[in-house]
Amino acid sequence: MRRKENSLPFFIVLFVSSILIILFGSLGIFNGLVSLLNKGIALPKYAVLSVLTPKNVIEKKVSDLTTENIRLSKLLSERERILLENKALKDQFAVTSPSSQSLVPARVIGYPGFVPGVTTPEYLVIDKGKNQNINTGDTAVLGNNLVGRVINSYDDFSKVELVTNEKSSFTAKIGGDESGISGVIKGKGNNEMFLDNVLLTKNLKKDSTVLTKGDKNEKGFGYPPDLVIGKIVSIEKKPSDLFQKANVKTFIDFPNLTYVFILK
Amino acid sequence: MILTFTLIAILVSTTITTIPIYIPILLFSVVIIPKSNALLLAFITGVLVDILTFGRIGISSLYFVSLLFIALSYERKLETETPYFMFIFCFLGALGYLWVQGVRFAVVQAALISAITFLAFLTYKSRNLRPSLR
Repeated sequence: MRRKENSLPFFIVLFVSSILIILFGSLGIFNGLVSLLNKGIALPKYAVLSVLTPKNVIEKKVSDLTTENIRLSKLLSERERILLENKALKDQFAVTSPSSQSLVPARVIGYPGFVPGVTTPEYLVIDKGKNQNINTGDTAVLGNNLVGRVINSYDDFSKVELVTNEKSSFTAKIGGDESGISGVIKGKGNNEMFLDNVLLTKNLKKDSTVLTKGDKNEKGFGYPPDLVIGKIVSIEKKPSDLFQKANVKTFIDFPNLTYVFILK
Repeated sequence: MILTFTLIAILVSTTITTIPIYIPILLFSVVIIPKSNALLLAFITGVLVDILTFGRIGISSLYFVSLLFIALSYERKLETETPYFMFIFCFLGALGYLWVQGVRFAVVQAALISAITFLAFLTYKSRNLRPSLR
């Protein structure tokens, strides 16, 4: 026969201890202890799981997790695309010129002929075309920086020739210069441009901003004025030449361009 | 030995199942070991379960200590060392605990563990084993 003992005092002590633990636990005092114990018990838990869980249950769980992982990766990729689009739109509409009412956003979906590390992009393909009122000759910008012009427009896609393309040539001026220095911007390929046909008497300065002068014809082809092309990085001036030249570097990172805006 | 069984039950219950295997062991301890030791075991079991399930520490120990105290209180009035008492108390105890924890299919799990407890206690009674708390 078991000796009768009064368990009430012991119960009260443990009951009150439990309440105190609940109160102290809500303050986060035991967080370190919980982490430590769970780290210590991780290996035995894993051993129990491996021994007692049927193989097909584990395989199903792995399969379910893999499927879920793929689904979440797609969502993440979509989210990143939306964030980039949002940022591009915010950046574009933060500038006052060109007017935001005349801009059509377009996503860059291809770089024909571009091989990273080997070649530089000369063209872009965007996801807007005639169906979205994009026509040959339209200007592509990013912020107030000039990207290039649409040279081919299809139903839902268009091809944009970048300003650094060897075939690109248009008039330009030096920004903020009252003497009106102007010249011709020509693409050199390989992500480079130069400002040519500047009179020797004109005083070109390094780091000056080069802007479009505006060369739209009666059909509407050409670039509007005052779009940023880039900045002068070096000057070539020989007394024996008729004109002086300057190498111009664009502010845009063409290989990593994701969005452009078409001026209408 | 009962401590070993309790620790194994805690490990299994917090790893691969939600069935509270430790509740029948705690009820067994009421029969087998001194009352104060049983209550202490219930307290420690509750704290460990809460830690390993990342629950609010103290809730399970409060429940287990109260459950065992109620079981001990019935010692004078009812024959507690019977499989039927064990079955009913285990069922009610497990059901209450699972309901507090918000576990699904609480009735099924409580019935299952109670049935196992009934059979285990029958076996114990027939063999009259008396392990001690180490």
